[in-house]
Amino acid sequence: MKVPSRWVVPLAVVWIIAVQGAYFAYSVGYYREKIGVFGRFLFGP
Amino acid sequence: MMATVHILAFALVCLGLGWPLVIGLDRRDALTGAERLGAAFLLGVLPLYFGVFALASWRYDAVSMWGLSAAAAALALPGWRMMGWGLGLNAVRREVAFARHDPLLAALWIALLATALSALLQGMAPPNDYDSLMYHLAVPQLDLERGRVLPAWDRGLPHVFFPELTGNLIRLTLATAGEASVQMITALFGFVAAIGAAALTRRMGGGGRAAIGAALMVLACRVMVWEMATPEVEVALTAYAVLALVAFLAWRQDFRPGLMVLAGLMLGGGLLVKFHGGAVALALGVPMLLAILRRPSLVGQVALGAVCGVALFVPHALHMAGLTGNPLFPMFNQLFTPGGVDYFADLRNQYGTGRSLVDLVLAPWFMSVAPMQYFDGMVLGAPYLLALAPLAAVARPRQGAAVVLMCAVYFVLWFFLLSQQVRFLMPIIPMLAAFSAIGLAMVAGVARGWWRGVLVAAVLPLVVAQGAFVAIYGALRLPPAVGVVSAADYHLKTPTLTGAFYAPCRWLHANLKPGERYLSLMTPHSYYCPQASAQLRLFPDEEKSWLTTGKPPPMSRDEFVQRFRQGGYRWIIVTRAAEYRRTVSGAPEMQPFDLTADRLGTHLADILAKLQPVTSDPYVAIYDGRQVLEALDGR
Repeated sequence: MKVPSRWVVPLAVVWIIAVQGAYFAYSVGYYREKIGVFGRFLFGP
Repeated sequence: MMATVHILAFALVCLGLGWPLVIGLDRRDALTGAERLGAAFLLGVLPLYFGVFALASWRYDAVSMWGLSAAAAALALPGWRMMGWGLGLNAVRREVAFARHDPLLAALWIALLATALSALLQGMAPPNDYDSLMYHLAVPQLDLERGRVLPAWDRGLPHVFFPELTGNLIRLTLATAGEASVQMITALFGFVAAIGAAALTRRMGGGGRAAIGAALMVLACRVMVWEMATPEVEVALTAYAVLALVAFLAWRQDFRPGLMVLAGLMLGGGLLVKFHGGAVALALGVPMLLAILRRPSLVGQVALGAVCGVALFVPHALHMAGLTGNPLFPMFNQLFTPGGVDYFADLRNQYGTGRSLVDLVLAPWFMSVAPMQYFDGMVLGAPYLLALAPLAAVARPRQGAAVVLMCAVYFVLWFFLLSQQVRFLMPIIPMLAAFSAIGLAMVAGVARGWWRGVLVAAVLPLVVAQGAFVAIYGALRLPPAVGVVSAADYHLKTPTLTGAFYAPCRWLHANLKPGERYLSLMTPHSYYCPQASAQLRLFPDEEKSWLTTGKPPPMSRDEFVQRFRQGGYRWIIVTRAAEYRRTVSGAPEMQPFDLTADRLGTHLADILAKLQPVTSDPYVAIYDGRQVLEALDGR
């Protein structure tokens, strides 16, 4: 395997956070109604 | 306990049957011990499949299947003697020694073994997935009650004519060890898929941690966790797909024909599991074709591998051609039957965002981050494959181009030609897991100072979220699997697509006397209900009508009453409502079943509305057949 450049780690971290950020944002929206009163308090009606 | 002993014996018999063949095909030791184990299991199940195929249409009961099992065990003896037990033990000792000095490797091994054991034991939970209740288990149970494997025309389902490699393994197990062992077989295929992912990672230049990580990523994938404890078939196809790729990559080292034959047999085995194995073969066929273009002299070897793979499928194809006139029934039906029915036309456009090139590029994103929106649900779980696999592009793993090519071709075929259900992408999950593990290992390897902490913090939520999926399935299925929760309680509290109908079906078993029959208008006709004594929606003289028209002919009320009287049905079971979960909020909604829209139910709707069911649950109700006949006669 070839040695990557010094930008690899920051770019990898940004990509990983972007993917899971989108996923968790979607999941919170999707499951908001399932979470109940506490969820609605946190995420709005 | 007996189920775990049986499944261990089953695995050993398959390994013993397949091992001599693998050794014969890999004379130069191009495959590692782990790769040989995986390939041996996948070859070893084939004689069992063909044994059931040949025997069960003549006699299918405990005696014939135990006889087949005994013969298989005897044939496995030479293989057991050839297996390098000492070498295997030494490899385990070596790995334990490594793990003692490498906490991360030890943690990965512990997580892997815990996930694998949990998946295996969950298989002992009562079956409750929709497809299995409808046909994966229901049809073998019907065969067992009839004492022979016969075409189940009366189901009106093209699905019952799909390739049956796993179906015949289910038949063998159902007639011998019983229901508790059936689902555990799928876990064995899952283990082979995990071994394949680890082996692939090593072949691509990944280290020991990356290999174990890849195996863990396969077993922890949500759809794998779910399917490994069910009789669903995609796990077995996944195992065949990754071992075919491994055999192909090993073949590229020195082009020995034996390994190409092995790759062909893996592809043929995959096709015998599920028609999607054909797409896997086409996908791997592209790198094979490129190999031929570089060295035309290899065309004979590739042709030999293809012939071996196709040969596995020929008996099934001939059987289908004899039954339906279409060797690939129910696929390509319009090709073989002019004016024939396209059974899966509705499914083709049910999922996904569309079929444009933009949709093609964006599909991995949407299926990973918004799975409930466009696709078939939370199939992958946390999006770790999307987050990590692209990182491998920088690592440039060995043989990566061939692996990427196979995955890309399969993905394009899936996207444009198949139903866009994400679970049908399972054959390439081991490859994506290998890329993910290699990519993460590479980034972790070059991260320095506080970037290491940042990387761990970025990945940790994915690990926790996926771990939660694994744990939730364990919490749901392990209690009934080990007997802490009863089957009745489990089915009451654990939803499945339209209900398992467990309690009403048990009631029918208890209240249907020998020789009595009942009319079933339930959807689907559950595995838990008596099978052979049920009259489904198709009567014997019309049960093949769906082959040409796709649906049975209409039936007048007078004709129905006459048939009902002749049938002398003791009970009638009808669907009342179904749970619908693809709502905006994801919260389930009960939707009443419109009996008047049912071909036979329309003649019963007004009568049943006035009668009291003898027993019911939220999904189905059972009525007294005699009372219904009196009402039909106007008495």
